[in-house]
Amino acid sequence: MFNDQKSFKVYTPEQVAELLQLSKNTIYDLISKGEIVAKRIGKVYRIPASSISFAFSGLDYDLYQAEQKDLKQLETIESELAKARSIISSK
Amino acid sequence: MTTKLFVDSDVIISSLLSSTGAAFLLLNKLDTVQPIISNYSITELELVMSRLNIDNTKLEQLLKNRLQVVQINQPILTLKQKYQKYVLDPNDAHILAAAIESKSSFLMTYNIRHYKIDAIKKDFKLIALTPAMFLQYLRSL
Repeated sequence: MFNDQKSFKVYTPEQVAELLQLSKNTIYDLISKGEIVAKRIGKVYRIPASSISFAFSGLDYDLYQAEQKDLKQLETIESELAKARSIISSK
Repeated sequence: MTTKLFVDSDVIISSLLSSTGAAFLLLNKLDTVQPIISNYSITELELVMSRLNIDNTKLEQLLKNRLQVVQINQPILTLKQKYQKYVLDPNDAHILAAAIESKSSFLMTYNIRHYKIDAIKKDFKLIALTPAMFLQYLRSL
């Protein structure tokens, strides 16, 4: 599960290569193209979890955040919808 | 080509409550999809919106500008009998019925676990996804 705590975690290119089942060179290539956003610290890179959100949630980070916004209200919505459907069905 | 999406009422309500959520993005930021609801959807949406104190003009705007409405004339009871094997809660049957009747390719819902998605996909070639999952799918094309 991709949660707020994990979103602060960072990974090495090697760890990301393993997570995404890609070679280390491919990860460096994706970093240079900007497809994976990384922070260069001295001579090494660190990759925030938000850059590889897909590995945790199946969603890009912006879509993951957008879904989370909807989920905040969902319990109330589903509960009211169930009541409405019950009323409609009984007519 | 426009992709037809039947939109469950939980997604419609979500889009009215948050302008930054995935449901809002789905219904307001894509011009390559045709979102569809049914006459039964409108009835239940009005009930839920009233109970949650959501301004009805928001739905009216969405109906005017974005949504297509498919008319389902069969009674709910008939729809329940016809589609009950595809839903966990028979009260959801009218959503599935309208999605099939409208010849939609996707059913957008936050209630995926209430639909028997594998059987629905196999028998009706209808894929149930959450809005964010659908948006992710579009990015893969």
